[in-house]
Amino acid sequence: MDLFSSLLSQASPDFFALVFVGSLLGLVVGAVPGLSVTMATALLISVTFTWSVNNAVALIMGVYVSGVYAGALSAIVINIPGAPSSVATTLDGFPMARQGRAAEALFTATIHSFFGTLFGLFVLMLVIEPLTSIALAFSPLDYFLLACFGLSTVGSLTSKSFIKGMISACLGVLFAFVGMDEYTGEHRFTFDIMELQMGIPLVAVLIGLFGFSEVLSTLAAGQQGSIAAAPGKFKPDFKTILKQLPLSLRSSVIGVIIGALPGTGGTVAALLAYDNAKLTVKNPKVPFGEGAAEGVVASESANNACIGGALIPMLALAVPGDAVTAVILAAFYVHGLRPGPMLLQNSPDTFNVILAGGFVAAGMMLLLGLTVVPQMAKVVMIPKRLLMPMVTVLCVIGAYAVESSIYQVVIMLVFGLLGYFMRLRGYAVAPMVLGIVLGGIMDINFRKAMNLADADEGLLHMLLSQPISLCLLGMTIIAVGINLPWSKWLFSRRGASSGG
Amino acid sequence: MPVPFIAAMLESAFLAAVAVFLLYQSSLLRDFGDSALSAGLFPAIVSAVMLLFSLALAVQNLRAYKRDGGNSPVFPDSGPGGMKRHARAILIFALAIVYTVLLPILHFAVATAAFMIVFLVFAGERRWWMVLLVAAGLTAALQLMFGVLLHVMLP
Repeated sequence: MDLFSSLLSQASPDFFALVFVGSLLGLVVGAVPGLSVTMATALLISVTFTWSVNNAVALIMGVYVSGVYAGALSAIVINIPGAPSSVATTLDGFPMARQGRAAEALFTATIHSFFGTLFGLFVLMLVIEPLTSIALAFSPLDYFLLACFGLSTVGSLTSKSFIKGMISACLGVLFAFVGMDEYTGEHRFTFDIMELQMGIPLVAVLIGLFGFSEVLSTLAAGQQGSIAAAPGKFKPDFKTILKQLPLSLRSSVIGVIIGALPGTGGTVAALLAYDNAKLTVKNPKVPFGEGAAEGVVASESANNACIGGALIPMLALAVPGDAVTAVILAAFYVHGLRPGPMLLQNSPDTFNVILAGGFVAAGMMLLLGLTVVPQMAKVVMIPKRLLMPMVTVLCVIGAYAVESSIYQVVIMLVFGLLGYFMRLRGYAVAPMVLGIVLGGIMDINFRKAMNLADADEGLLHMLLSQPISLCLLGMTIIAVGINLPWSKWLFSRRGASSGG
Repeated sequence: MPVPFIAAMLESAFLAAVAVFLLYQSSLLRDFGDSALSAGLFPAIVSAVMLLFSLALAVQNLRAYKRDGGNSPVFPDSGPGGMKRHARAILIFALAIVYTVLLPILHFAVATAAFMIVFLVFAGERRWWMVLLVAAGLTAALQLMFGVLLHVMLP
C-alpha cells in the first residue's frame, strides 16, 4: 500500500526523532492550561521555516496529536482542562483521581486517545473524498441545527437539575455574544468597556471556571489533605479495554464527523460523544459524573478522532476544521504546499507523509502516555495547601500567556468566582462552556439561514427540502425529548410497570 | 420562612432580572431594516428562553417548598462554614486580584514569589523552609518554561 511504503520510506531516525520531540512538546503545551497546540504550531512555523517539508510535518504532527491528548492530563489530575476539547474529560476524570484512580483514568485516556487518533487517521486515508463532499453540503441552517443538537447534551452534563443546566447554558450562549458582532460590526453587551469588544476569551473562561473555582472551593472549605492519597495502583486489564472498544468506536465516529465540519471541533465532538455514552452505556460500574471510566473513554476517543476529521476538509478543500488546522494550513503554505482539491493528485507523497507523521505520532503518544504520564499523576499526592497556590499561579500565568494580556487574567478570575458560586448553588459549569463554544456558531448561522430563507421560499420549505436539516432536526428533538425531566419520569414509570 | 427557600427564590428572581435586562439590551441593537440581520435577534431569543427557565426554577422552588418544606433537597445546602467560607473565598479572590495588579508593576518573578509566600501561609503551610522552597522553585520553573523555553512574554 502507498501508506506503508511511504511510512517505510520515512523510517529515518530523523523523522522518528522529530515526531518524538514534537510529541514531547505537545505533551507540555497540551497539559499546561493557557498554552495551546495552536500557539505551539504557530511558533513552530518560524522554527521550521528553513526545514524540509517532511521534517516540518513530522514535528507539527507530533505536537498536534500529543497536544490534543495531553489536555486530558490536567483535566484528570487537577480539574483544569488543558484544552477546551478536554472539558468532558473533567466530568469523570477528576472524580476518578479523587477516588485514587488517577492512574486508571490516565491509562484509559491514553489507550482511547490512541485508538481515536488511529481511527481518525484511517478514515482520513480511506474516505477523504466522500466525507469532504458531505461536509461541503452543510448549509448555515444545518450548522445551526447541529449547534442546537450539541446544546441538547446539556441534560447529560447536569446530574442534578435540568433547569439549572439550561440556565447555565443560556448564560454561556449570552456570554458568547459579548463583543463585536462579526455580521454587522455592532458592539453587543460591551457596556462601553473597550476590552469587552474583543469578546469573552474561551481559554480564560475555562481556566477560571474549572481551575480557579476549584482553588476557591477547596481552600474556602479549609481542605488540607491531598486530592488523593496516591494515584492508585492500576493493572491494565485487556478484557476491560476490549469491552470499552465499541464505545470508543462510536465516539470516534462522532469525533471524525464533527471534526470534518469546519468551525465545530473537538469540544463539541467530545461533549456529543459523552452524551451518547450516557445514553447508550447501561449500568456503568460508577455513575456518570462520579468517576465513570466510560466518560473518559467517550471524551478522549472523540476529541482525538477529530484530528483525522479536521484534516479532511483542510487537506481536500484547504478549509480548516478548527483553529489548530488553520495554523497548520498556514504552516503548509509557508512550506510551499498547496492543500486543496489537487493535493492528492499533485502531491500524493505529501499526503502520505502527513499520514505517516500522524501514525508515528500516535505511537509516540502511546509510548509517552504509558511511561511518562503516570509519573505526572503523582501531582495528586501534593497536599492541597501547597498545590492550590501553585494552581492559582498557573491559572494566572496560563490565562496571561494566551495573549500576553492582563484582561484575560481578570476574565479568568471573574469566571473563577462565578464558577465558585455556581458550584455552591448546584449549577454545572460544563453547560456554560458548551454555550460559549456553540453560541457564536448558532448566532451567525441562524442569521445566515434566516437571510437565505427570505431569499428562498421560507424557513419551513428550506427545512423540509434538505435531508441533512431534517435529520439534524429529528436528532435534536429526540435528544431534547430524552433529556427533559418529564420524559425521564415517563421512562421510569414504564420501566416500573413492565418490571412489576 | 426558612433561609434556604428565600435564598433559592432570590436566586431565581435575580436570574429573571438578568434575563429581562439582556432582553432589553438586545432590543436596543439596530436591525438595519431587516430583523433577520439584527445583532439583537438571537440574543433576544436566548434571553427569553433564559427568562422562561428562571421562572420555571421559581415554580420548582415553590412546589418543593409546598411538598417538603424548607429542608427540600432542591434547595442547595451552603455546606459547613456558611458566611465564613464565603469570606475566605472572597479573600482568596482579592489576593489573586492584588497579584494580578502587581504583576505589571513588580514584574513576574518578584510578584509571583511574594504572592506565593503570602498565599502558602494563608493556605495553612507553616514550615518556613517549605514556603520559601515552593515559592522560589515554582517561580523559577515557570520563568524557565514560559519565558525561556516557550518564549511567552511574561509581565
